[in-house]
Amino acid sequence: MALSRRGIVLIAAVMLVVFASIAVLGVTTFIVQRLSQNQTNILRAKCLYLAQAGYNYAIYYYRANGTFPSGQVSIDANNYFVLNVTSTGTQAEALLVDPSASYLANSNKDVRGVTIRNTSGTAIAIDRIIVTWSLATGRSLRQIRIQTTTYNFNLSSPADADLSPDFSLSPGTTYSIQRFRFNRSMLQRIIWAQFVMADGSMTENIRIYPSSPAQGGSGGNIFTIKSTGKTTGSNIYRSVQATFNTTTGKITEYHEIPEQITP
Amino acid sequence: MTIVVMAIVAIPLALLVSQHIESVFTSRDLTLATNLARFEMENVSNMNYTNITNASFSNYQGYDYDLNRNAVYVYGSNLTPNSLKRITVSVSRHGEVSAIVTLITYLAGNITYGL
Repeated sequence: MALSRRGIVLIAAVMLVVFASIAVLGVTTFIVQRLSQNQTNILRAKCLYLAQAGYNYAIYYYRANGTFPSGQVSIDANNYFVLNVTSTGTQAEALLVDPSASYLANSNKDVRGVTIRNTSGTAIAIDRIIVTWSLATGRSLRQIRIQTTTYNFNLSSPADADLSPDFSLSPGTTYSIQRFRFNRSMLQRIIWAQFVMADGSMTENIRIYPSSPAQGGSGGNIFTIKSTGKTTGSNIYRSVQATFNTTTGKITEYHEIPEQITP
Repeated sequence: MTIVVMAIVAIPLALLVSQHIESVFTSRDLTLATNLARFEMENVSNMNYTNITNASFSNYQGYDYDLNRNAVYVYGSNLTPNSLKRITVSVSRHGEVSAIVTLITYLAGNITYGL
């Protein structure tokens, strides 16, 4: 009997060790996960403040240079943000009309030298141009030519010249309106144009001849700045979106977004 | 024999348990330090831009942690209307030098929020 009991303490000890090992393994897993979660939380907090750094940098850069930066900007060796800036104002706000160098040509039947520019980061399109002029009797608008695209009409003032197809302007590009052509001399007439965009927005009525300062657009005064903050060696990121009004200098909207901005 | 077996297993287990205890404290440090750093970052965001300068706080907010705030002009200066500051907030255990958590951001001057 005594002989059969001699090994029971050893067996009990081994069982105890096995149970203890299983318990410790479970607790180890739990603690490792908790530490990993803490590290993730730290990285997420870091990334949020890096994203915040992004839109502050973009606004500083705009004020200093008149344009917005884009792409990746490093704060130091381990921390960086990625920026993407687009105009979210109306298309008319993004259209800059410059009639400051306009002149008459072709026996004074053409108004030439007017340029238009898309100041935003996205494409915009002109749907119609409403052209009016003084001393209108006997004069009609016959043609508008923008770059190499020609639109023909026969309209009296106020001439609602529908551009078909719409004339599209690429981001940041300047186009020349080669001519507003009339049937007779426009000498001693004052001519205005109002641009109606594809989104329905319209510029103010701009005097295109005799020449006047550039007007119409306001440089695309509302911009959406998207910024993603990241640290090197990690897949974790946080992104924010800020709407910035360059006229008032205010951030009118600010919130976190799920997407990652890539360079 | 039993004592030998117990000793072989118990020693590594004891080491593991001690690591567990240390990990629990590390985890507590990380959580507290992160939240204190975030608190300070939000505090800085609501401060007057010109008042955001270097500062050190011992036992920050009554906790056993020290906080160090570093603010430097990246572009411009206090003399220029347009400037950009880099704000670095580091939290360490009270009396220790090495930071547990460091948060960095940029802040531009003269930015207001609202319609």
